[in-house]
Amino acid sequence: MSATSDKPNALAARLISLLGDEAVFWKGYDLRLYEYDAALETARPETVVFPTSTEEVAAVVKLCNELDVPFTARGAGTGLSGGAIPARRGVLVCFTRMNRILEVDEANLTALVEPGVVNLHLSEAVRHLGLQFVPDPSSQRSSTIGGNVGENSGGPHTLAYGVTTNHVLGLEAVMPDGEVVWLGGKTATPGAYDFVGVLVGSEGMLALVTKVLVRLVPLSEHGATLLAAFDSVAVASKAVSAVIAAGIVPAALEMMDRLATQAIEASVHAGYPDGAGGVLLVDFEGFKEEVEESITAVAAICRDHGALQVREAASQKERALLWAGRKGAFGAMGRLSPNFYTMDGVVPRTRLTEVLNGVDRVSEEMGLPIANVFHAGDGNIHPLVLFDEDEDGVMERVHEAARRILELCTQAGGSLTGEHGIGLEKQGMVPLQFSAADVEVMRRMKLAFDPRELCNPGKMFPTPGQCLELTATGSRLSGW
Amino acid sequence: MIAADVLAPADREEAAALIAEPAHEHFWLSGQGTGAALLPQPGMGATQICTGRLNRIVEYEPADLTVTVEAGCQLGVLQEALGAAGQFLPVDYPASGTVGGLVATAAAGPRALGYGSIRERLLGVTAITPEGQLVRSGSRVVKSVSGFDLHRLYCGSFGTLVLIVEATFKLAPLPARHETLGFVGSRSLIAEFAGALLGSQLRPTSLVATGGARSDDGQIVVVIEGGAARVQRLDQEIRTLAVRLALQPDSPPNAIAKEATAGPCLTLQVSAAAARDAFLSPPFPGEVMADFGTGQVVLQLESAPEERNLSALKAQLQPGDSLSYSAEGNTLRRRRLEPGTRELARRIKQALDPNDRLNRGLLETLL
Repeated sequence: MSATSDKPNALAARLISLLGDEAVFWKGYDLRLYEYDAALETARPETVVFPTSTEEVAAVVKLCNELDVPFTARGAGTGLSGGAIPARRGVLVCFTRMNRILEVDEANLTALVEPGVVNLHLSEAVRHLGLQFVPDPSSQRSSTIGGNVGENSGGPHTLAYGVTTNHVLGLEAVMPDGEVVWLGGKTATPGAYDFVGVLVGSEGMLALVTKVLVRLVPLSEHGATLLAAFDSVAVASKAVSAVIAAGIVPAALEMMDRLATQAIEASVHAGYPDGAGGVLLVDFEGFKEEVEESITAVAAICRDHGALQVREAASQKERALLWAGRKGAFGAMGRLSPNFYTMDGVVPRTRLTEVLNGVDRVSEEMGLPIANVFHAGDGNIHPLVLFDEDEDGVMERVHEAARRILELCTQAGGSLTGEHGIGLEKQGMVPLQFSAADVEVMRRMKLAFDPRELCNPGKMFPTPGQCLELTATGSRLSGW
Repeated sequence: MIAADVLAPADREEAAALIAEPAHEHFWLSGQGTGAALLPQPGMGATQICTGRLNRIVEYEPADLTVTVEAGCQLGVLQEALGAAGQFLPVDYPASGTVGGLVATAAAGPRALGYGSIRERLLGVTAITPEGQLVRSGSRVVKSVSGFDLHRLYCGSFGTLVLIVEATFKLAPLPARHETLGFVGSRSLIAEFAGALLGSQLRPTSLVATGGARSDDGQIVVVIEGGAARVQRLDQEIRTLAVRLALQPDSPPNAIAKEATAGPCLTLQVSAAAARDAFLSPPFPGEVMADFGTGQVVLQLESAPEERNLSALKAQLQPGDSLSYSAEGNTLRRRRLEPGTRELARRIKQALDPNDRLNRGLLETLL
């Protein structure tokens, strides 16, 4: 399609006949806005559609089958691994107009929502009932529940409560052939094959989700936050391990290193101590006396581990400010560098110190400053690689630093990604965690759902010529 | 005790080689056989494999609150090792049962209310494909979104897709305090009490109610666990609520038996609210037990219901619910597939086990 064309092509014309003029973007000018999400990669869709019902989504998918055109789901485009990038072009199915909360069932503590509902809007809508939707990715002000389902999003408060997959009970999905199915339900026990468990986190590669049945959790009567400052993240990490080993699972346990703390202080003035090499934020929720019991225990552990300062937020206002610092951390990086690359990897909690020391070495070797802001309680690290894209050859060094850091994670027995997904970003790194045989089973399952490979193709599976030469086993995915 | 005609590989490599061997046409998989009575007989010509000798605890680091363990390890052995470090795997499963059995059946019991089901605890799996390849899904860390979550598909798949040889779980600290509270009263008050607990932050570890066949009265048992401060507060608030609803304390609480009994038995798998309704007014006369952790309602019926009444009840079920009826006692609590997903299930079976080598015929009994 040409960007200057003033008439929709055949694909767009058919889509307009299904959804109406207002629900189809096909002009180059409009499409340009949909060629990227929050990852580095881009690809321009041929057409963007904005369905408003399951029936419309199914009709679009059936048309794509008829014309042999790929389709890719998109929520708010906040994903960090390129999950919503139409790698093979085709139709981008944008769910932002399917944003209704269809049912709140107080007796069963569930809500049935459309995929375009914004994460935070759901919690706001049920707060007056004393309920919340727990998964709280940093993007929660704009990211959608559908996107959260696709990527199995996490967030600081998933330490105690679990990630998205632990909060999704049922799904309505349009299968890649256009058939509509319902999976799961309000009963706590899934069916023999846990289709919901497979679809959550499948990066939009198995089906298009059109309704999500989520679990709601009663709000706690009390919450409190403890700040503990240490000489270094290495020392702070030891305190984290000691907390978990003591049988205490706080609601959230977050860490920031010296560089991150400085940037946050400069931008948010959150009240983090000057000169601390590692700042821990520990959040507690529950009954008042229960929270106090846990705070006392964690404060003692932090002091035993040589904390320079341990203090409990004196008011809910101060608590909110401490958290505003953490949540504003990524934004604050602009103070340090024109560009930054947000990484995502996971290590066993007991290996945090060793891996973070390794990250420091990578930073030195590659000549790139790296700030660390992460979910310490989960061992989910987010090194932020700082760079200036105008510097010649810097992208190669950024990618090399990323590769080395993920090698450290997987060598320590961890994972390539804790909450962002593989997508386009980490296709080449998959062999660091999975063998060719592991990947082959995943490919077979992909084909069981999507035999024609139309649903978000070109993602997750390792690409030839990168780290792993996939053995040809008669798979139809051999071109990947 | 492993029967003579059952092959028991000594390690995963031996198990993989065994499955890769084309001379074996198909296989029937088992652990200690705790669930054998619940399953159909192995198909004709099946080679039986028992995971009993794959029983090592592979990696246990208490400060990570995770454990990686082989499939044949018995739950009792695992819990003892974890307990020594003040931790446990919070599931309801027989001590003699194996880790592999737990995962393959996705067994759930009353504690699922407080701790979530095994599905929430399973972080990763190592398995052997029907071609004899060792494969992994998930990871050993508490958070990972790398690759498709095949381990969730394997969990509850009754050995129809792969042979599970190792699993990694997220553990829980052993609670410092544990209390069991019991109350008796009219069923309607008990149902109201259960509803109030489920919808509030007073959510207990487990909540199970029972009612007699010819009585409007019932009994409810509440288990509360956690740190001293939490348990004290829960105890106080739950007792206050019970008094307000004019429930009588039932101390010491009668144990609620979950053993199979003879006679016609109906098992419903429904939402918490529907479980409450079924407890309040059972669809057929009989003794009722409602477990609000799993949404399971078991009815020991006085007489066999008419087929058309069963069909009418089935028609009222919500998506994801299930109903199973047995004329001879509560033997098989079978998980069924959601309506409309049979074809998808068959496609997945066909894709992962194209020659139908693992637990042949079993999937069809689950459909």
